[in-house]
Parts: sequence; C-alpha cells; structure tokens
Amino acid sequence: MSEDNAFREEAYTVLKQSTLFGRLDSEMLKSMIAECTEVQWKKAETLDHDIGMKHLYIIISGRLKITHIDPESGRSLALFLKSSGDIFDVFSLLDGKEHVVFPVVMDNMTVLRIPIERARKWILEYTQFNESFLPYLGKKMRELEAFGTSLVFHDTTTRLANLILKHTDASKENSYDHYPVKLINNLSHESLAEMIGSVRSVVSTQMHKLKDEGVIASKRGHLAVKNFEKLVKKCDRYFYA
Amino acid sequence: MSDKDDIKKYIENNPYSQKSMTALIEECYREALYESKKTGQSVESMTYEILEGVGEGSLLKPEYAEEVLENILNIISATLEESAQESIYRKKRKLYWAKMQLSETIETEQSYVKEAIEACREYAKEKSLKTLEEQLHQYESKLSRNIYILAEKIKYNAE
Repeated sequence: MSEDNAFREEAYTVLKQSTLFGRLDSEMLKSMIAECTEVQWKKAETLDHDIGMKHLYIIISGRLKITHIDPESGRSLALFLKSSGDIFDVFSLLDGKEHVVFPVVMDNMTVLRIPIERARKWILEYTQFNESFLPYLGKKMRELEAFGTSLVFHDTTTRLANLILKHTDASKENSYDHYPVKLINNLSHESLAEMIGSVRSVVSTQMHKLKDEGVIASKRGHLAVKNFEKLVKKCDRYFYA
Repeated sequence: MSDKDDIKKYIENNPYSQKSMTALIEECYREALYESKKTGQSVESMTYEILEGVGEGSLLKPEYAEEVLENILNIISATLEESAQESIYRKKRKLYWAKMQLSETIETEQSYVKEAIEACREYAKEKSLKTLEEQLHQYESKLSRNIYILAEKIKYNAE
C-alpha cells in the first residue's frame, strides 16, 4: 500500500467515527477524501488568521485551539478546541467573510484541505453530508450558548468544573480508578483559564481546591477525575451542554 | 508525535555518549518548553514526557541512573532559568516602552488643557470678560493638578 493510500485509509477510519462524517455512505466519504490534499502542521506552528478564507480544513489528528486575542490588554479567550473529525473554519465556510481568530497548533497535526468553494458545493450536492452538517452546527452553537450563559450566570469554580466534566470520559476508568479527561488533560492552568474566560491565578487556586477535595488528580502531569459524582455536583447541569 | 516519542526517536538515531546526551536533552527541553509556552501544554506533562523518553530510550542505565538524572535536573533548571530571564527581560522592555508612552500621553493631555484654556483666555480678553479671565487660572491649575495626580497614581501602580 502506498503512503498516500495508507493516509487515506487512516483518514477514512478517523472520519467514520466523527459526528460530521460518520453517517456518510462509505463510497461518498471515500470520494470526498480523494478530493482533498493532505497537509501537515507542526506543533506550535503559527497559522495565518485568514487560512479559512480559501480552504476548509478537516482535522485527522492533533488539536487546534481557536483563540481570540484582545490587542489592548493581550488577554485571550479560547472558544474552540478542535480535534479529529472537526472542521475549520465553519464561519468562513458559511458566510465567506473574514474571520479574525488566532489558530494555535497544539500537537503535530494532520489535516485534509479542500478549496472552500468545493466544500460549499459538498453541502448542496451531498444530501447525507448536509443532513450531518446541520446537527454538527447545532452542537457547536449549543456549546457557544452554554459558554455564553455560563460566563454570565456561573462563578469560576462551576465553569471550570463544567469544562472538566465536558471532557471527561465517564465510560472509562483507568488503572488508577480515575476517569480520563480527553483533549484538555495536559493543558496549563493558563490555557484552561483561556477556555473559561478567567485568569491563570484564579484557575490555579480552583484546581488546587478541586485536588484537595479529592475531585480531580494529576498523574504524570495529566489531569484525571477522581470522584465523578463530586464533580457533577459542582456543575450546574441545566447549562451543561 | 509526543515529546516522549520525539526524544526516544532522537536517542535511537544518536549513539549514546555523555556529551551528546547533555546536548540532546538541552536541545529537546528548550524546544519543548518553547512549544509548551506557545501552545499552552502544561510544563508538568511535558517535563514528565521528556523524562519518560530518556528512560525508555535506554539512556538511564541502572549504574548511571542517579548521575544522569542529576545531570538532567541541572539542564532542566538551567533551561528554565534562561527562559524565565528572557521572558522577564522582554516584559521589562515592554514596561519601559509603556512608561515612555505614558509620559508622552500625559504631556499631550496637558497640552490640550493649556490650548483650551488659552483659547478661553483670548476669547475672554476680546469680549472683556474680566471675571472669566480671572477664573481661568484656577481651572488651569485644577486640571493640570488632577492630570498630574492621576499620572502619578498610574506610575506608582505600574512600578
């Protein structure tokens, strides 16, 4: 099998497990992948803020943090942490307008690239893709809504607990009797603060409190949930998306 | 690829020697620290991965383990210190420029006060408004004093 074929096989397997592409007919998904170009992004690489204007990117592996930065204060807010099966940039795909964000490459990434005009045609031509695209958008909008309401109604402790809960895999317990936390498990307190609209010092205090209370644990620098029930109690489930 | 995989791969491709190990760890840790600061990965998890990479890359031969770990600790602390100094120096430079800009802003604002008061003074002279002319001096002093106090407060808090 050639390298290119192996990559396309891997892309197919990854996308088959995603919300957006998982329900597509196998042949349709394979032909969509065949239209794309493979692109590699190196960890910590700086991407242009307008890359989403010309192409749509489909993430196969690695994480991409979408950040907004206030030029006056330098404060940043990370609204999305995208991973396998996610697409970037949904905003420019929908309205064709410039979307000023700062994408941060968190790990070495492999993505598929497709010209934006062609991606728009996918939505019109492939009914199955369209049917999956709307629930995907709905999910992202609900996440944004939950974030906005939480920012207004909740204190930092609840917002932090919500963030951890959202990324906790409650179905799996690891060898330490802890629940693994996905995507955000190796982030710094500063990064976690960016994701809940707070600052590092406040998040550090709250994280120490959660550790002291036995809610979370840090093993080898990776975050895990020690007491799932206690974590749920700290969240306002009404707003949890 | 993770930091651990990176360092393991590097070790595999470079035969072991004390000298190359020092250079290798230093290079890997410096790069990983830079990436962590940029991406927001925690330094704790990155450091652990580097240590695991060294261990699994069979650099830690039991008879040399203590010695090698002590050496690694020295490299890590020196790299962290160097990186901290760099960051602090950069911030200090920004602070210096911010202070310069603050002084310039204060002077500009004070010149606006002077210009406006001067215009009022000329108008009062032209119209022979003696009482207004006398009051203008008080306004000028009050405004200048308030701007000065505000600037001093900001300067004090910035230091």
